[in-house]
Amino acid sequence: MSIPNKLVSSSIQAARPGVYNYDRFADKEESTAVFQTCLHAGDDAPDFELKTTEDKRVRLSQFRGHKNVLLHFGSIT
Amino acid sequence: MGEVSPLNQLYQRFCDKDFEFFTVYVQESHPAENFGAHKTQEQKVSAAQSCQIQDTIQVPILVDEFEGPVHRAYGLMPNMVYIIDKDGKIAYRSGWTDHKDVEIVLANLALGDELRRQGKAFKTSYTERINIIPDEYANRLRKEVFDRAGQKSWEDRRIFLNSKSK
Repeated sequence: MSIPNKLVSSSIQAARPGVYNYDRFADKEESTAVFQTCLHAGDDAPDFELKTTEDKRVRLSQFRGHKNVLLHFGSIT
Repeated sequence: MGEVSPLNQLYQRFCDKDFEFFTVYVQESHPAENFGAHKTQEQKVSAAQSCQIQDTIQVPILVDEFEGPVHRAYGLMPNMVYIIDKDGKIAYRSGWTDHKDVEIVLANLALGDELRRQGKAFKTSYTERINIIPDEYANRLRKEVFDRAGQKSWEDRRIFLNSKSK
């Protein structure tokens, strides 16, 4: 039986409230440096549990040993 | 987000015994009159559902928590792609979705899985690269996204570019 990983989705280390969901594009955090340093190929993918738009729970680690997982990040704007 | 149709095509080709695909819905990159910044989680879920319908996204959409913890853990950029192998390791990560690249990586991982099934040995190598994105392509995508988001997205970008040049 596997030991549950820490889930980044329930991390209490959130961004300063009001900054992440900015109204003005100029207030957006600079992210290139974050992306280049936070993770690298070969690292363990941070585990998370999120709900789909159909309210179904999905945990990334549930696919370990079974499937490769592609994650594409985006929004409508 | 980037182009949806090529992603749907890859999904149809690869989503079988070896692959799962998910879109992670994050902050609105260019909030404007038609699609504003999320004020509640419910609004974020609703935006994700609208996106799924409007863009005919076949890939299941996971909605990140409100302050974007998963988005932040993976690098905070607006249109990233990650491919995670069956050992839970990051096999590929990109700051921008390039579908030709993604297709090559998926095929390579599928090859690795097949070699494992056949009991054949293989090695791995590590790559880093810089990708060229012509302005002609980026501008076309920007126009589609901004026109749909609303005029404020164009004004906000002008403000941002002016503040950077000071």
